[in-house]
Amino acid sequence: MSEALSYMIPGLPFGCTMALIAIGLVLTYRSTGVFNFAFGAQAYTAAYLYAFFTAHGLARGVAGVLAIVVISPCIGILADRLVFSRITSGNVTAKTVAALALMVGLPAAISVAFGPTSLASPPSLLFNVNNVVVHIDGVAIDGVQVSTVLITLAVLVILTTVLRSTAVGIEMRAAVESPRLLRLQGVNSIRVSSIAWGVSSGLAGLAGVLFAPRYAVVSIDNYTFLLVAAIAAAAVVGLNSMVGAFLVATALGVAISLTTGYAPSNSSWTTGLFAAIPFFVLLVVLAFNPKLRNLDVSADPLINAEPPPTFAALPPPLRVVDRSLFITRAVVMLVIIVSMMTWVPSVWVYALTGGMALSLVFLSITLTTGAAGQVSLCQATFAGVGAFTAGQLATHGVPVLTGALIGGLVAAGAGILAALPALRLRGLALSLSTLTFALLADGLVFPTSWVSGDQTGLSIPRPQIGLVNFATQSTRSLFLLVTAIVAAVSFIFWLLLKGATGRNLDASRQSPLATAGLGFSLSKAKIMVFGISAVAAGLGGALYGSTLQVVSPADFSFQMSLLFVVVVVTIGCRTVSGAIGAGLAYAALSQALTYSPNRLAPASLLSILFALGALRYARHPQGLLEDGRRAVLRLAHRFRKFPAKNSDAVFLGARSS
Amino acid sequence: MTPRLVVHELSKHFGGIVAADGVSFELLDAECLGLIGPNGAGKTTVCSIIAGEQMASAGTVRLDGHDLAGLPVYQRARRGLSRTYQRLEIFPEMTVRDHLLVAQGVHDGATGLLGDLMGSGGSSQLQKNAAEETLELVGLGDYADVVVGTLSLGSCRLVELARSLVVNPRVLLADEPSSGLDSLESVAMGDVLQRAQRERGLSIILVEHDLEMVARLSDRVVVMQSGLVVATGSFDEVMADQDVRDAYLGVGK
Repeated sequence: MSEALSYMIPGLPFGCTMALIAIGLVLTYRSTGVFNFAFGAQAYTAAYLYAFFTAHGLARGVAGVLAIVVISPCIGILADRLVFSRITSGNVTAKTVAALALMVGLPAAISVAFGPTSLASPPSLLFNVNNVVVHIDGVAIDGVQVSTVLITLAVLVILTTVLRSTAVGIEMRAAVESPRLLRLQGVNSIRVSSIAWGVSSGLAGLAGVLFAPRYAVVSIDNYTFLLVAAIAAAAVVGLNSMVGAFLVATALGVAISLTTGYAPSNSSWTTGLFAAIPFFVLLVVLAFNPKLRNLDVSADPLINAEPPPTFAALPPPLRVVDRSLFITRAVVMLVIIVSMMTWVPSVWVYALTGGMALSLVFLSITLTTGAAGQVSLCQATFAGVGAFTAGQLATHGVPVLTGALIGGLVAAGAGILAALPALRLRGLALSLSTLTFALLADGLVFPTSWVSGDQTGLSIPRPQIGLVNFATQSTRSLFLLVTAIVAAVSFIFWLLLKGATGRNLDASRQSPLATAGLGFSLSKAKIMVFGISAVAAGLGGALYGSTLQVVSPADFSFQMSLLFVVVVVTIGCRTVSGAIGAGLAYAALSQALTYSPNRLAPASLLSILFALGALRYARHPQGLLEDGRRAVLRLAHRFRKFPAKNSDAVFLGARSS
Repeated sequence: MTPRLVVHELSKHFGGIVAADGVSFELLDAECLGLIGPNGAGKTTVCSIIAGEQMASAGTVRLDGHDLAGLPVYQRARRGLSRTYQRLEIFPEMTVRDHLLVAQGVHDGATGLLGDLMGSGGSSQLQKNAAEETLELVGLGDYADVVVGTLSLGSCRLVELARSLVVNPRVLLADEPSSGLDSLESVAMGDVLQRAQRERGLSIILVEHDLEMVARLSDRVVVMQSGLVVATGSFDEVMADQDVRDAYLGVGK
């Protein structure tokens, strides 16, 4: 009994910190309609700042108040005012992309501001970790555990009381149903939204500070795990009940702690399996709880009162402009290729070859997010499947290009596997489902030696075609080979996007209900989209791996999936040229930033740049490349002397490549 | 004459709430059947069950003699069920013409990847001509190249209707087509529906609160209240029914 207790008791405070995030998720989602993926990052930010302040001599209490009560709510309110409140309520993709941008950008901002080295764990907020407060059945319970449970319970009681009995609480509950009605009643809904964001971000901060002393260093990875576990708890109660979320989170914490306690100590895989309990719970809940399928459907009774969204008139297309742009892009591509073959320094050739290979992974995002409008968060996982398959096959003597093709096919299998639990899901629920898939791959599949090799990583050789060995040739010839493969795959994607497939996906992105009503099977489409996109991602991952020559699970982690989405969305997720542009821009910027001082954490700087770019998505879903085209069009119209054909027509030009 | 659509003893329960309770009616060829009743009577639920968006707790729906049980929305659509929505469902970034071409492409099975790869995924001349004809029918001929998100609500409703009509459905479920329209637009919408019914032999289930439109278009009317069918007959007959007047119109007391 005492053994079980000794395993269960640490789970209780863990469950409580999870509960704080879960309550924050429910609170923000219910009062503002935003599912904030960035709470984990916000918790990390608060923990980091708290650790920084205490390490620099500030008293624990003062540091805690600064991090939890001042900075965390400010971050939340700023995110609301500057980003989320500007996104229309029905635009779930934009909300998800914005939350992802924060999730990627916040930890990167911390790295840039405070340097790339991680901070040692801070002291506990209330009691010391070494203070044994009480013994239960011989099991010592320390100060951190007691303080975490007590603080969480206090917060829960205060929050539920405030929401049930105060005017602000009633307004927040009303905002859940209809912010419009609330405004019509003379209530300032902006204030209500700010309060919700402030309070929930404060909760995230509190969870972060309470959670930090559990580990040796303050690391963003632990907070991502905390976030997903909290999402599972919130999802079990249908994002509906704060008390329910608290109870489920605590139960999950205890269950994880108990099962990992009994896991054989020599098997990291079994420990990983038990630690992944929340992920399994989340997958099952998403697949079987019909409430979660309708997370994106507004319950607002006034939803019909508003006219359909209107679009700003855009400059009508001019054939001469589009032709000129096509020629310009072709010339630029040609110049890049010729330069790469001749004078560009080899370190840049190496970087851009990797970027070119990654553009295949980015193409997969063009299909899932750009065409089908679903934010899949496991595209890097598919790339990893392709890379590891090619690498493992290479160890058995299979040529790397054949291995890459087989890798693409295996990735297609993984894609279909990822799509199956998500068949009835879309929008937010689908993003969560794919994120869970990526985390399961990261935790259980990729780290095993039969997938990713030993600690030093898995070798993927350079290809050889006939007498041409790309390992002994310079990287320049490899660039040419990768470019040729990318061109071939891009052409296939271009045909698909221009044809009936692209048109139907376009329609299903804008109204899934109407498209199904026309006779279009959304489930089959989802399987097709995931399958095809995974082939491209898997092939891209294998080529990327072959460029790097050694790959490890970190190259294809879920963080990479998030970053990739943010990168593609910034450059342009609706066109083939956007994906290639994103691959080259990502590689070129990464390489350019290596010249900046290490103190500035170049990789984080890159994340910040793209995160800022992705924040534009709500207003400019077309991305920077298409923005450029429109700017040229406007300029051309200014100098145009004669009226164009169809001059009264208004085009979005969303799928022009 | 075999009825085109037969709804038999259809019931739908949401927990303890009965949204539809043993609803039965038939829809004949080229007939317009008005489905009316107060809010919450179960009209939209019946429509959603016929379209396959919700599963019935009990009862059957037969289209041209075939039981639709277990068929998902898209398969029912391919068998000739088409619908418009109370809450507008359009593709705001597409042009009016593209709405119709998407509908035709999906209906004619142009979803093959191979077709796209061979470059034959576009619309045929036949489809384009049919789209033009339908646009003329609903009066949107001049707006073919306009992006739908820039149109007024009334025009958007017409686009939705044209998208349904272009595939020559067997049955059209028109769910409150005049919702949000002014009286002139309502009349125009009624005209279009009437033309489609006469010129194309379309069978229509018209769920509508605008009784003038129902009176003008419907050959027969089914009145629902609290999930039950309380009256069936011509518009004048059901309006003369005291129960209907009491329950639905709130007059006669």
